Amino acid sequence: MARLRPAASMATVVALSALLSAATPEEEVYLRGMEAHNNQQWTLATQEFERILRGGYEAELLYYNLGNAYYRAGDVAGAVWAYEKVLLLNPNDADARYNLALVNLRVKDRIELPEMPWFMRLYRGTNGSLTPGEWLGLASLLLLLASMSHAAGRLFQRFPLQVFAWSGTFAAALLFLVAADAIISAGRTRAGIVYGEVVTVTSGPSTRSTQLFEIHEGLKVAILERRDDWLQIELMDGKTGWLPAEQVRAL
Amino acid sequence: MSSARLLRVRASRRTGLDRQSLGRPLIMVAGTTLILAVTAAAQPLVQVIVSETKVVEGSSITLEVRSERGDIRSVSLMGLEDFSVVSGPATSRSVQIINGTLSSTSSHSWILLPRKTGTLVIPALEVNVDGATGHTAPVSIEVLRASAAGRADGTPGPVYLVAEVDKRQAYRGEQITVTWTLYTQLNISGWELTSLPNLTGFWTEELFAPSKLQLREKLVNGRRYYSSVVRRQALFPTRSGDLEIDPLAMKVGVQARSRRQRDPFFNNFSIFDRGRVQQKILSSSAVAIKVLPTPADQRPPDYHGMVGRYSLVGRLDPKLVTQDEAATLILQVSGNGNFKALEIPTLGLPRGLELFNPKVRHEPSLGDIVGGTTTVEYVIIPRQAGTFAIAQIALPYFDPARRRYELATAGPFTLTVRPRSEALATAPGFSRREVALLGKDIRFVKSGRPRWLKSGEGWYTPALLMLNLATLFFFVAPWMGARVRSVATVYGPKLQARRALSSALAMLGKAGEEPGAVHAAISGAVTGYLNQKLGRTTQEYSLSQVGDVLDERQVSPAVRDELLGLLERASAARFAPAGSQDADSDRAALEAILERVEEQWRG
Repeated sequence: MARLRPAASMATVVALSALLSAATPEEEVYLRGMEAHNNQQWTLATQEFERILRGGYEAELLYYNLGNAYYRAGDVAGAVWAYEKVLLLNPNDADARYNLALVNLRVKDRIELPEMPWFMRLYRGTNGSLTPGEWLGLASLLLLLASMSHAAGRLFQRFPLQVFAWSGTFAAALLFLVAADAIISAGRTRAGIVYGEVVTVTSGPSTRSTQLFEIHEGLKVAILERRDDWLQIELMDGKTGWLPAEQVRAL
Repeated sequence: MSSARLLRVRASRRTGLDRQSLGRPLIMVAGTTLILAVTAAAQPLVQVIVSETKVVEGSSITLEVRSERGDIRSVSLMGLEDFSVVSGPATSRSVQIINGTLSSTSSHSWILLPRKTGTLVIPALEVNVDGATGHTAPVSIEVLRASAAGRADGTPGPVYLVAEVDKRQAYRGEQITVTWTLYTQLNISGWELTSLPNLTGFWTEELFAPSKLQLREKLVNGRRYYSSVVRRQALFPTRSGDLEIDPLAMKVGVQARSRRQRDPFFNNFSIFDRGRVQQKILSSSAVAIKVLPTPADQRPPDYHGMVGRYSLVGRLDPKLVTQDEAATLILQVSGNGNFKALEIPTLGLPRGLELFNPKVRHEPSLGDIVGGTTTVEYVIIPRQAGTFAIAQIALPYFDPARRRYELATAGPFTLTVRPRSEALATAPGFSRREVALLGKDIRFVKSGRPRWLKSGEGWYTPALLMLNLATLFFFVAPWMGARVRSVATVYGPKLQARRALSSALAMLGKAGEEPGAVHAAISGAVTGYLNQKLGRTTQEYSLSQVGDVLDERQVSPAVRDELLGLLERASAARFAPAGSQDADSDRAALEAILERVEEQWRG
């Protein structure tokens, strides 16, 4: 790694200088963030990257490098949040997945889940390999091919074309179902990352409610409901409770 | 307020109270005293009305604040610490016309439970009436002890709620078990807890909260009751001094006994003795608890407030590992007491051993004594080979039974580490994949130009829209094509005919005004018309050919002869030019004839 870093830094500088020629405002801020990162000014780098996000822009690369900056700065929750955002945009980013697994080792709460049946694992793995938008695109593309085959089949009266058209339509319908499942799941289970170092989860949206359990920074939780300044969250093992909204950063 | 209205208010208060009385309405009406306090002699801004000024402990009263001079915006209940608010405020507003005068009344009312016995005071309450501030007069309420006001045998009545504690003096952090029990001699048709006690100064743990009553027979001072626990909690005082367990309030529906002669052969719970259901508010008494601090002398320096009785067991697994392999130190704290105060012991590790965040798991024990086992798993990765000593782990706690501090210990432990091996083991708390990651660094920053997206963009992009529109086109296009073809089949010949006629007439139109040209054009127009209709390219038709074609197409002989006559005349006119008037009339005649030929043309 030590040998790799100077080479990588050089490559970064070369790439950055190439970018300078036609940089948009968000790219200019991004370059400043990268420069701070290369100078090991981790906090400054995170500030610059976060400024882009506040400006309404995002990018897979931005989140990845933001995660690295947070990790170096010792901010476990920030790093987890940023790597999770990368995986939302590209579930197949192996580097982000690796770094997320590494930073998750530093999360205090370790939740063990019973293993899913193999077919559920297979389906979840397949479903999670593409974003909902990519599933939708794939299904639409297949349906386009099927529709073209329909048209050609009618025009030329060729049986194989018609067979392809009908089987393509069926496969596209299946893909649309997968896409719908992915979209509904993503819409229903809004997730967030716990930012407070130690957060007490209560039975209701009030500090006077019964204290149920404690969770720690970096833990990923599902957000079920928001009521004023409180969020109802659910852990992966099914435990639910309320915590102040400022303790969680939504994904 | 007029005396008539006051009486009406009094009557309604009594009626409401009677529903909660002990079945002695006449006695209660006679005994009920109402207080009307007026803040200003002439025009009172606010009035306070209480249902009773003398109650038995555990009985509720109704407090009503009313104004006839406007809307009550707010009432401050500051200084009402001697009472618990069971429900309220219930607000009401009424408008009345009495003797032609319009008056409106606004009121707020609460159901209150006295929290202790003796003479309690409802202080002057600050009331905001349409922006104006007024104060009610203070009211004294005498709360009698249940035993003093109860029956001769000492029981408080046919239905009552009692709070019982297993001890009234405890150390800070020591468990106190409080049980609220309902005693009844009447049939209960429904119940709910209306006001949970405010347990400030305690950390609480729910032990028992039944969803329905589990009645058991019990003798109280010689009287037979049925009792059921409605709630049981373990309380752990978090500060020393005099603390108080607040009253618990509950609402029960009791079936009042009918006033007819009781059947001597059936008891109080007879199914033949069902009366109407009355709602009653019951409350337990407040319970005073004296909390002692744990002794300051001999208190261990690393004592964190654990009270109870605990044991500590430690195990290192495995004791022999390879460098960079994970070993797990499993620590189990078992016992009874305030586990909430448990702080995870920190391990004193020598250099060369890397410690990761421990995994903590607690398994509570069953029963009314709070306790269980907390298991802490420390993952240790040795980064060097050698023999390492892990110091003894100690957990100081205070044992209230022995009234002294004790020390639970585990260890010391010895970990032997062999030189590095390539193999990686799994460890409890981490998966095999995670263990492989331990000690690794993250992958480096990525260079390149980010592909910017606007935050919050949906998944349905314009590109996807184009894709779907193209799909729609390909699905629709064949159908549209077929539709167009079918339309062409139906309307094609008609269009062709119209086209033939139009081009023939156009040819006539182009002939100009010269009579010779007109007559030459007549012949050409008929030839062109027939060619278009028949799809031929014949240069010229003879008169007999024209006649045959028209006969074939079932054109009437009259029209045929007319056309043939015209063609004959036009042919003759080419050699003996006619006047321009004839040419114009022939052109008009040809137009009319071709229109009729077109109408009669078949096939």
